[in-house]
Amino acid sequence: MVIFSSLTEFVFINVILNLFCAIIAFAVSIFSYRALKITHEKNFLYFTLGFFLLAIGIIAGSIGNIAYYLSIDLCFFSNTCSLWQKLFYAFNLAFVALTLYAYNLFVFVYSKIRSRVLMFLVFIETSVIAIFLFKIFWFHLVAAVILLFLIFLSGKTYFKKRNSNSSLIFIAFILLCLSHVFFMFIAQIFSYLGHVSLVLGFLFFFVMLLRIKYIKRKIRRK
Amino acid sequence: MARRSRMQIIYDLLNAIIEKKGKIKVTHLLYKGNLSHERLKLYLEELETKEFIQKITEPSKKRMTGKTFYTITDKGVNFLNEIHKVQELTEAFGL
Repeated sequence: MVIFSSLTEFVFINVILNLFCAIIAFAVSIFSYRALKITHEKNFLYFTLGFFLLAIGIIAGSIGNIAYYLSIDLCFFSNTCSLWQKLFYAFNLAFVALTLYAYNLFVFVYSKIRSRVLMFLVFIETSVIAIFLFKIFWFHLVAAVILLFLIFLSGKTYFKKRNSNSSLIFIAFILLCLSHVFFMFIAQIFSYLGHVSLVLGFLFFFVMLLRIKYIKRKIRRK
Repeated sequence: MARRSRMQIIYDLLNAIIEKKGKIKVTHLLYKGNLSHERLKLYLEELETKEFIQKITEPSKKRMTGKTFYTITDKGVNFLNEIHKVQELTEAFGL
C-alpha cells in the first residue's frame, strides 16, 4: 500500500506531525514547570525535564529526517553528501538519546526512584544504548519496553483513581508504545500507523492538559 | 493518615476561607486547618506577606480590641486555582 507518493511528501508530512507533537510536549513541560514553581517537588522537575527533552528530541529527529532527505535528493547535484549524512546521524542520535532519557525520567517519577547513583547509571546505560545500538529498530524496541513499564504504572493509577485525566494518560502511553512498535517495521503502512499513533498519543496528553486548565470548575469567592 | 505537605496545608487554609464566604475567624481557621496555634501563626504570617490573605479587625461590643478576621484576596483566589490545577495534575499522573 502506497500512502506517500514521494519522499518529499513523506518528509514534509513527517516534519509537520513531529512539530505538532513537539509543541504539545513543550506545552506539558511548561505546565509542569508552573507546578514545579508552586510545589518545588522533584516529581515536577523530572516531568518538566522529561517533556522538554522529548520535545527537543522530536525536533532533532525532524531535522535528522530533513538532512536524510537532503542527503538523497540534493547531494547528487553537489558535493555535500557526506555533510548531510553526518548531520542525519548526529540529529538522529540526539533524537534517540533524548527520547530514551525522557522515558527514563518518567520511570523515575512513577517508580519514585530518587537515588542519584541509580539515575546516573541509567543515564550511562541509555547513552550506551543510544550510541552502540544505533539501529533504529533497537531504539524503538527499547523505547517500547520502557513504555510498556509506564503503561503498567499509569494503568495501576487509572484503575485505582478511575478518573478521566488518568485514563487519558494511560491511553496516551499505550498509543506512544504502539507508535514505537509500528516504527520497528519497514513497510510504509507501519510508518503511517506509527505517525498516527504518535500524534494521537500526544493529543491525549493535550486533552488532559486542556481539561485541567479550562474545564475544571474555577474556584471563586462565594 | 499521611502527613500533609506544606502545599496541602496552604490549600486547606485558603479553601477554609473560601468555604466561609471569603471571611473567617482565627478560631475557625485553627479548627479547619487542623494545626497548632504556633504553626497556624507562621502560615498566616507567610500568607499575609505573600498577600494571599488580609487581616481585618471589626469593632466588637464585647471586646475592646475587636474581632479579628481573615479574608482571601484576589491573589489568594488565583493561587488557590493554581494549586487546584497542580493537584489535578498530581492525581492524573498518580504521583
